[in-house]
Amino acid sequence: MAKVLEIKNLHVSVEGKEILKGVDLTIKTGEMHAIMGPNGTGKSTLASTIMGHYKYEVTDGTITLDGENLLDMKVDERSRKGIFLAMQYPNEISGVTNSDFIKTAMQARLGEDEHVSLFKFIKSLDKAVSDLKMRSDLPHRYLNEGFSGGEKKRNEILQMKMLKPNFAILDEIDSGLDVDALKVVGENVNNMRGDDFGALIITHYERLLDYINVDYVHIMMNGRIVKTGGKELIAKIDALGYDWLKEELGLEDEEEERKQHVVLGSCAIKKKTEAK
Amino acid sequence: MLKMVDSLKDIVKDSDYIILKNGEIVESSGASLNISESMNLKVIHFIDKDTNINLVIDKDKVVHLEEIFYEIKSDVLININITCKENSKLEYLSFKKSENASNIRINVKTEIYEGAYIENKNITAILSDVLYNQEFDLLAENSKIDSLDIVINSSGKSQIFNFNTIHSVRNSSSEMHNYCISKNNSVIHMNTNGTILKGSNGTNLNQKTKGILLDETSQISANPWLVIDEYDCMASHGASIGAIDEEELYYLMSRGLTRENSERLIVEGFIHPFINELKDESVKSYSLDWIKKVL
Repeated sequence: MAKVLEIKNLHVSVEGKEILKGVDLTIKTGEMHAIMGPNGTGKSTLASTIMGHYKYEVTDGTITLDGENLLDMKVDERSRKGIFLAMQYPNEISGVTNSDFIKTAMQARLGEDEHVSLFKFIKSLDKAVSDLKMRSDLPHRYLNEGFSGGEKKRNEILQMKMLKPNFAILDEIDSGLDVDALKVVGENVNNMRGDDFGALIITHYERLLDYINVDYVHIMMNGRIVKTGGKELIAKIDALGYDWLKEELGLEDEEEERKQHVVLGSCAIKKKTEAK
Repeated sequence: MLKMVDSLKDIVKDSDYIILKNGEIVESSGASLNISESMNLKVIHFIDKDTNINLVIDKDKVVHLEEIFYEIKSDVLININITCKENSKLEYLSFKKSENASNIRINVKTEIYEGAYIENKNITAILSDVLYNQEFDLLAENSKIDSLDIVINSSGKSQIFNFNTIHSVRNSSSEMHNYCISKNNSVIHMNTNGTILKGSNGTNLNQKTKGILLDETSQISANPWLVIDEYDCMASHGASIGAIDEEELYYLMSRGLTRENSERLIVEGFIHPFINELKDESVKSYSLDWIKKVL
């Protein structure tokens, strides 16, 4: 029976500013959903909120996983329940090797008396590394440290393949990937398709979706999902952008927050040489 | 001496070793600290009074040295002088521990000659107040040092570390990474000074200090200084202190690790670059056991 991730009337604020203004979305395992939309419309906020990032405050609405309230769960509990977020900017953790980290994460899903089989782990990790055409020394490198942007993104997909979540949220996993890497990542995500796996793919561009066969495409604007359709929407956005939709729905551009530079101080001074 | 400490028997098994008390050899496989052959060597120290230790690596020799200060008693001054002669290479892993002690002073002075290279990895996990002075002198062209110093203070006392690197000739290189972990109302002062003297053109000097506070009552101060009297050189320094980064915790937790496990993994990540370099499994497990105890 399909599992269901259900988001209803979700309102989310960051530092007092409301970003999501009533998102409704239902994803079932076996389905692939894409979310597209202009910059700053709340796509990444939605992804981070589902995962439980501490900066995002849910002011209204619900997120449930098979009827269980996800918002009551800590980040690690959500992960162990089957939610996975492939992050836009994965952290670098020095001194922790990739293989140790993935094995620890797999162990976290098992009971106290169960242990990850080392032989099976190495075999499946090697296969996943090969599938993603990653460097073979990757298991021994520190987690994301010194990785290129593309390697970090592939590493996120590697973790997803190893942890086998029920629902994966891919937050702009295509940014920083060259055309070859994009194909490899897209095909690997597409190969995850199955009765126990659903995905929410956040992207700006249609090119990733050349390789991932999505069932639904959602357009997000001004903190809401404003249109849902099939793959035909991707081609239309690629050809025409989002202006037609703004006109159709009577939406106005939201004012982007202006960032100001702050000078924190100086750590060096040059001493003037006095004239003799 | 060895008979007194069963846990050391595995460490010195099947390898060149030296056991010293207050700098004097009490037992060895025939090796000395005046090293004239390329070798792997284990060194174990017992200190209960003021001590001078001299380590010399001869020209062109390659030495991997794993060292444990097994016991350091109160009120001692330890002077360690290391000389790396021309074109030698020293992989130097030093683990310094002590418990129930006070007023420990350690001076380490290292002289590096032409073409010599030291890969220095040092953990100081001493449960005492400590004054630690370390000086690296790059004395000739193409001398190089890569150093990782990890300080763990959970003693509840104050520890002061003065790390100095001095470049006095051209084309020398130093990379200094200092990691501090403070816990249990403890204080670490990390003063890192880099000096490039006039005429040391083509020199590279990089310093990085990172401090982690594991509770609200502990303190770390990082004071990086660069004194540069040469235009044609590269130098940088950086320091950061704080609790464990919430973003790093979030990332690990998003893969199913509990907060406690995530914190442990991040702190162990500080230690692993030292532990992973230890070739001897007994030294490795001995060091890890102590670190787990003090953390």
